Amino acid sequence: MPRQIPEGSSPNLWDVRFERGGFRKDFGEKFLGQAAPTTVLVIVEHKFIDEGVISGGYEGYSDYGSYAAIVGQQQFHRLVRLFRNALGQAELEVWDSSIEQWVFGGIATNFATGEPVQIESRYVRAVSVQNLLLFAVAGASILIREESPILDQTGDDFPSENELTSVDDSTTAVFSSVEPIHFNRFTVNFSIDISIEEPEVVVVTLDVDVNGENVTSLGFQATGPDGMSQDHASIEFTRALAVNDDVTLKIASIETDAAFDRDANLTQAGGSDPLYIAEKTTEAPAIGNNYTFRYMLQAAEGTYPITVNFFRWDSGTSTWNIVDSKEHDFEDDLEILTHTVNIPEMEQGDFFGIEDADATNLDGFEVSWQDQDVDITVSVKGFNLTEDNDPAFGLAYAIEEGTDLDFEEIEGPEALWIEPFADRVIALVDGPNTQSIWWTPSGDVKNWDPFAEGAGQMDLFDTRNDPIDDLQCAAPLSSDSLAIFRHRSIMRAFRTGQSIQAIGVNHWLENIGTESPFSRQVTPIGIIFLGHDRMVYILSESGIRPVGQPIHQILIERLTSNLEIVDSVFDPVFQHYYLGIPVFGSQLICEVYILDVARLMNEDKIVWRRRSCGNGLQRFALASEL
Amino acid sequence: MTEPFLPPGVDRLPARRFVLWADWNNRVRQIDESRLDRAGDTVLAYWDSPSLNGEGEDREFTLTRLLLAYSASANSEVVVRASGDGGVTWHDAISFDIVESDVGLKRIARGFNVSGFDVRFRVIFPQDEVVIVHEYSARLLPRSEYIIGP
Repeated sequence: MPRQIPEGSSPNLWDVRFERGGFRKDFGEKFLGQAAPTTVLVIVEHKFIDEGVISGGYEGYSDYGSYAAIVGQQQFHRLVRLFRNALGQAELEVWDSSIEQWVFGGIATNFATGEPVQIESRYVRAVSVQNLLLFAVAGASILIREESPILDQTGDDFPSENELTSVDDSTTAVFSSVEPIHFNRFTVNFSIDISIEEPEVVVVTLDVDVNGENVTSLGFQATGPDGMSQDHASIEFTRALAVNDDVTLKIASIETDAAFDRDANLTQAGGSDPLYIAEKTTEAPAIGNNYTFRYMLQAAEGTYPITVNFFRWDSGTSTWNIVDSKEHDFEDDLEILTHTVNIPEMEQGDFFGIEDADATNLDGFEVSWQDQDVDITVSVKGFNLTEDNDPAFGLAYAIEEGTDLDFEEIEGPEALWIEPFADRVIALVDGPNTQSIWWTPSGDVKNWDPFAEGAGQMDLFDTRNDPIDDLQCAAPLSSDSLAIFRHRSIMRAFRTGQSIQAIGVNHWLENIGTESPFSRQVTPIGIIFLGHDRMVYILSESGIRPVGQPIHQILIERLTSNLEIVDSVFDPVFQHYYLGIPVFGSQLICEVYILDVARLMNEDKIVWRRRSCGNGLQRFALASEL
Repeated sequence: MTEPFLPPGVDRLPARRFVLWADWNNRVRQIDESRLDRAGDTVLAYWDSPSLNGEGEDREFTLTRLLLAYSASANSEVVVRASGDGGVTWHDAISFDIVESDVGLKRIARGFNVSGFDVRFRVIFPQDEVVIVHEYSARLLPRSEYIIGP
């Protein structure tokens, strides 16, 4: 019988991976751009977003809901590598996918002196947090990179002296820029004035169309008799426009809930006209085009049932047309009845008519309806900056003219590790005699003044087993709990819920720690790290679990020194934890061991495999966009 | 559980993520699921079997034939070496010609003559084509038992 190949059954394997119940050669690899001039100290993906803009709504009124829409919130990815250049400075390069090259991204300078910062050639911890990229480098305070675009605000105009007053009135601006537009975000600027005599509410809805297609709408609400007026209103939208595209501002609707009762007396006619007729004397159409006739039928023996016909006068053909009929089962000798008829396009001066089949049993009283004949005045003007000196372009946008980059050493601690936690950044600082933990105020990761509100600093004096138990790294256990790794112990930091001492720290695990800070990875099953005893562990809120047994002896024999250059990465798709180690005193990572975390989670099986890395490897990284 | 894999014709994972590193020449590399070479270089990936006769048995066996069941995206080759001493020494390589198999498994067998107390084999992938070895079957002949004396 053929024997299937259980994963983990091989005592020795290189560069194979498991797939569909078998094994195969592992995935290949390719270069990403040109070489860095010197050792790459960190590769990190910086994710940040532009400020969001919320537009829409009924200008402060909530009764009618809103058209609120969020635009902007564009997410950016920058893959960055940092190295110590020939002058000992911290130099950044950024991956430009359009030319598939690494391009210069700045040299860190001191915030006060403006001088380039000197750093040591050691692994760098970098975190992308709150739109900033922070680096903990050896030999300097924390470095922060901030990127913001340089924008030229410009735009196109609507025609001079335009005015929109009624439904379907519109004005059009022609988009003219050949330059890329920041976020493809546009603002349509205009003024609007709504007046209403009655103490009622009116809603004016404006559409913005691009080449005839509606892209967004905004409602403006006014209450009589004050009305509303805005000298500068705007509607934003996001759309990739081409040169000569039309952007149109249009009054889509003018609506009010104000209803007025109207009626017209039916008067006896006959002859070529129906038995009773009435003239529509008001201009506004009925709400829903519904007209209610009131009439009386009188019994006459032998005439049951009685059919009543309803007419309108068609002035175009000069004829009476039946628009509805109603058959009555007559039960009494005299009844006053009502019947509602839908008659579209009844205009002022048109006539209604009513007549029963034999023209003998009917008395007509009146026709009644409700209309919206409210005196509303609307005036909208699309802006024209050039000729009319309006406050802005009618179609405003920003052209990107480059990027403003800040890459500075800030005033703060010389941190060996930084970690986002509790809406802050935590810094571990390892001094010659003491270790300490620093934290920024909530939401302000640039502020490392420990006396600022919400910020702080705490020395960690109490080490139980080792008087100099060096701090190594940190990793979040949960949103409220942070593991702090030392050489021989693990502490736990937590939110206190107070601003004066926002972060608390207590002892947790003794006799287990790490000397390989960059081995720590946050995975769905917990924090995986290489322990000081060369065992790979998983740390979670429920405790610690060894998972490195299959490679423990290998690591003991081969990972003999340079523990600080052990590096790792977690592949969240295949759920693989990569652990790279230098062997026999190498200054580079020479072997990579890969733990199948998915199998561990799902089947509780520990399966490791190995991957070669040519002549060596420096830093791992994970990116979501290239 | 089946390991996640890329179906034939799919070069990239649907979820975007890229595993990167800087190599010894300060060049950044990324894992590329659509290829098997290492930025132009070929590595000799291999997989060692566990002991075929049960490690530690005080009895000698001879591997006479080995069958591999595989699937492959293209015609290719794998090389198999056998060991009678638990992988300390490996005997001459024997080539297995791999034929592209779109559907189902294909099987191929070759003769061996390797004896020892701990018989194993090593599958080596010398080419950059996707060959998945799903099953194996080894024919072992037990040799005469030793008479423990005196």
